[in-house]
Amino acid sequence: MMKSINGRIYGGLAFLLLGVIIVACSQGAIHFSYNQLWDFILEQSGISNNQWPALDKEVFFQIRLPRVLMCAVVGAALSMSGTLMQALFRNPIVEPGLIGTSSGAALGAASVFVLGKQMTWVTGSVFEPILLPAAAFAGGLLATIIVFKVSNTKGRVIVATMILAGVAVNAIAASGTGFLSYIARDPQARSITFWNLGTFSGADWLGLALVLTATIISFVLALRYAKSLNALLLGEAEALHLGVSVESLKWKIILINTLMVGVATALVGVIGFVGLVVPHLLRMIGGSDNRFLLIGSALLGAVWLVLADLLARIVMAPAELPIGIITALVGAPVFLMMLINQVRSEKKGGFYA
Amino acid sequence: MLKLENLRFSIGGNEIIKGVSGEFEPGKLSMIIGPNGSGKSTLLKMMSGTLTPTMGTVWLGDSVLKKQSEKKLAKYRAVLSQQTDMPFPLTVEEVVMMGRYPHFHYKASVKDVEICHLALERLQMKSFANRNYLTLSGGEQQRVHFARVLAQIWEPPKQGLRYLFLDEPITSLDLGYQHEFLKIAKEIALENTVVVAIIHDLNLAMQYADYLVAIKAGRIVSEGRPGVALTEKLMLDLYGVPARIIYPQEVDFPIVAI
Repeated sequence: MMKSINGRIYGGLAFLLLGVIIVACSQGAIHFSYNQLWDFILEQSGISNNQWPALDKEVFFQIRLPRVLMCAVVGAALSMSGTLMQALFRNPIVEPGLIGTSSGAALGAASVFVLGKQMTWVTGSVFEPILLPAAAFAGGLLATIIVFKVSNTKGRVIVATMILAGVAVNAIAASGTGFLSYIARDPQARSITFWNLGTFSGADWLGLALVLTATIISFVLALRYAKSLNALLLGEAEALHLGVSVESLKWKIILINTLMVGVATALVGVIGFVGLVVPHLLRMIGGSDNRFLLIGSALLGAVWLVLADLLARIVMAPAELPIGIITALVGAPVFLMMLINQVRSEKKGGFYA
Repeated sequence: MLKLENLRFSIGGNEIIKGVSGEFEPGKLSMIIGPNGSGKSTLLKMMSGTLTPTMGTVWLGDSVLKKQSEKKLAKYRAVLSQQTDMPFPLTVEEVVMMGRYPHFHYKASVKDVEICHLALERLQMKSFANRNYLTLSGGEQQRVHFARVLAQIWEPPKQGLRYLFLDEPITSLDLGYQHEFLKIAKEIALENTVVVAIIHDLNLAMQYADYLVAIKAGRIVSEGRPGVALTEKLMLDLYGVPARIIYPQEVDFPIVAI
């Protein structure tokens, strides 16, 4: 809506994000006091030395910090993906978990985990490090295209068809992933929970760098097309009249989206409903301009996933809940409520009316 | 000037437009009439560049429409459709601002904002600027879109004309706003713009059209000034109803009675 208000929302969200990151860094199986965190930062930036045990430092810098930051980046990616897909499908109940992007990417990633070792021509070559994200990308792309093509007829998306197509594609991908994890030797790939509900327990700096790069590239590109996506809200014909090359826009958005979601899913598994809840909340506070929604999603999505992972770590400490349980617990009821609203408003013609 | 050269359009083996030629001048409000399924909308879509003719050429001034990029075209050609469904909450001002999208890159300039306000003012919608578009009535929404379309071609391009296409623009409007819309359309035409509208109400056509084209089964069957082009025989031919044309003394245009 108004620009000055948006500025304040971004500021507030950024502040909130910093807050939850600090809390999430402190809490967990090993507790760090805020003083200790501060000392770590001072020491790392070479300002002072301190007396904390080396093991504490190791845990913080090698496990806790990359994990919290990974949550933030993946949360941003999944929420922006929700925003992009909602604009593309012209429907607020779309998100990467629903339309197959995540499960397709998981299938791609699982294939590399399980079968990658047999592809000896890749091992040691320049392709090795990008094989996992590339396979996740390909899987996610294929799944998204199938659902989009099936549900989109003559420029209109039929909601029921979309949800059913999503169910079918998700089932296919899940059965593939299930089979692969059954025959897998690698303990992480064997864990079906990892693929279905996601976890950040394996987060490291290398993975973070990978996801961060994909997310930043996607964010910058997505912002460039945000205005065209706004025009698309009026319908494909109207967008065309406003000078948007609709066909090429659709492809670009699907590619950008799959890049973010594919890479994130390859590293942390499938985490559902993040892309649904976050843009929905933002729309209620600040309207539907995609420029606002993208920046807002990046910030609020990061906040939400850092919080969800914190909950996953402390609810049953020292055991850890799969994060997808928490995001679904919050997200699925929101999804159901939005679906009911949508069915009701179909006649009125407006969802947020 | 907008010039059509032997336009044809086929879909699935059916020829919907069967060789249409004609010229539409700036300064005149041109209207297309015809029965349902006669090809009016298809013809208008080919003129606006939404559909590509199977054969034939559309000329905008001395350039071929097909060769214009969507982006460039959107700066001087606008289309108002019959209805637009939008699933997300936006303010009226945000919707109107979309009309300025072809003119700025990421952020609207002060001038773009000003033009939006002027366009809203022209439709007497200024007080609606911060309202949620989805809470408006169908007629109000249509006025917002008219404002959006006006904002899109608010300023004349450096060279060439502006083109405005209205596809049954007044169907959802009440009597007062129907006349308001057509008056504005006529004013826009006088600002050196080619304006072509599809319309069903023959009385409004008689009153507002400067140039009338009647279409039947994909062909032009009559054209010219409405008083000349629209005859009792034509109406029987087009719609299958015996209609009378009356010349009342109180007004300077004829009236159609059925």
